[in-house]
Amino acid sequence: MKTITFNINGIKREFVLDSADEKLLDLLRRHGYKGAKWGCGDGSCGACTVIMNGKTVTSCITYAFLADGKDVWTIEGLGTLDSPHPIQEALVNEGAVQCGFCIPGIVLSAKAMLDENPTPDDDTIKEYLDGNLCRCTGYEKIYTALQKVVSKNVEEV
Amino acid sequence: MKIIDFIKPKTIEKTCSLLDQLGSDAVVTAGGTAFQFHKKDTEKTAVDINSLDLDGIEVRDNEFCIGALTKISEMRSFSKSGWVLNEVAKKFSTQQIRNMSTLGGNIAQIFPWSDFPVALLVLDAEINTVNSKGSKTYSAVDFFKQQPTGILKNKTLITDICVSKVLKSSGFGYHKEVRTSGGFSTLTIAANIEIKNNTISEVRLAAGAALGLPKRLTAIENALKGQNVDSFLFDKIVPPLAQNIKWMAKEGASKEYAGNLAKTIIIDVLDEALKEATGEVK
Repeated sequence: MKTITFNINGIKREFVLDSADEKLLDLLRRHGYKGAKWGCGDGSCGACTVIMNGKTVTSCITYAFLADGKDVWTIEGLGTLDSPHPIQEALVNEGAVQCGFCIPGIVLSAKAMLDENPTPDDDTIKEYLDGNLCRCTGYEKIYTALQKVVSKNVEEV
Repeated sequence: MKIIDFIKPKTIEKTCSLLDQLGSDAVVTAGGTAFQFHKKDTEKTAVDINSLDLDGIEVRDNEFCIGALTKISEMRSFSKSGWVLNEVAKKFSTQQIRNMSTLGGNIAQIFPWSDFPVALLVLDAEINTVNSKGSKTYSAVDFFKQQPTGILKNKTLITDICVSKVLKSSGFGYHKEVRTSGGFSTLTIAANIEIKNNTISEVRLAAGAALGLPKRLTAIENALKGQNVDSFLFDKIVPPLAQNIKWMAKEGASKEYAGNLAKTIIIDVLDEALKEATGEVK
């Protein structure tokens, strides 16, 4: 079996692939990173979103071997119950989370966007989140929460 | 398609030699987003080309050269005078897929969602390729005349794609008809118009998705060339010519629907390009 090595949530780790065909989502979930979810399985719902080298990818269609040597972040690497990430805090405060299935992907998409551009406008927020489907909320509270994070960033700038 | 092994060559030479050696057992891999749509029962060795120095956008005098490994999201965020492919990139799938898909991958095989070939056809693109025998350049028209897989034959790499700048007195129009924002195209139309002395001196118009392969719509182009921009109307010239094109049915769209849609969208896209060319909108 082939092995690959990549940084997962800031820690370098070696992984043995199940097969060359294994997808990153399966590998991550096999190793306990279960925040990324199996949703559509074809890369269109965003429930399996992780960040790879600063960019979001849908891990359900990403071959695990493509992560070799990269820097991967999953939801497990962001915040804790006691000290949530500002994006997580904003989503909770706004009541933007219902069933929660899509939320890890949404948080990671928002993080990748804000790391790239801390003060995006509303159209940019929608563009960066266009690959994350939520069947509960209708998105409004999610956008409002992210707009509040952006407003704080604007104040700090 | 099942990947049974993977190799990550570091140079173009090594990649070409591997492709020669593996033949049809190899699959060139960059983003890998389209593999889920390949035949399930085939087994391939992935030749991962992500270590090759083929990404980034080079600005030249009258053109941009885009490395084959350039991600669609990089094309979306790139901004320079004369660059229009950000508009195509904006309408391409979702942010995650834009981060994974490469321009080379999008044009190496025509799928219904291959948006870029339509735009490349109107930007006079040249597609540069290399294999173990040397390098070769194809015009977009020649490259998309057939499935590009017939040219690449699993042995040839796309290295970069060069497109003309859309400069002063030129205008670009683009429309991708989708049922949902991240969905595959029902019909894609692109146009590039150049104006000289208030006359259409050059026009390139192309369509994709509702045709087997993306094509230039030359009958409409020829009818528009030489027209004075103040004294003609697209809606008089386009519909009868668009009606003669063999549009194809797509999921959720009959060929009659695609044909009627085409008449309207071609006019809208030409209008958009003309307004930009005349300076009415920039």
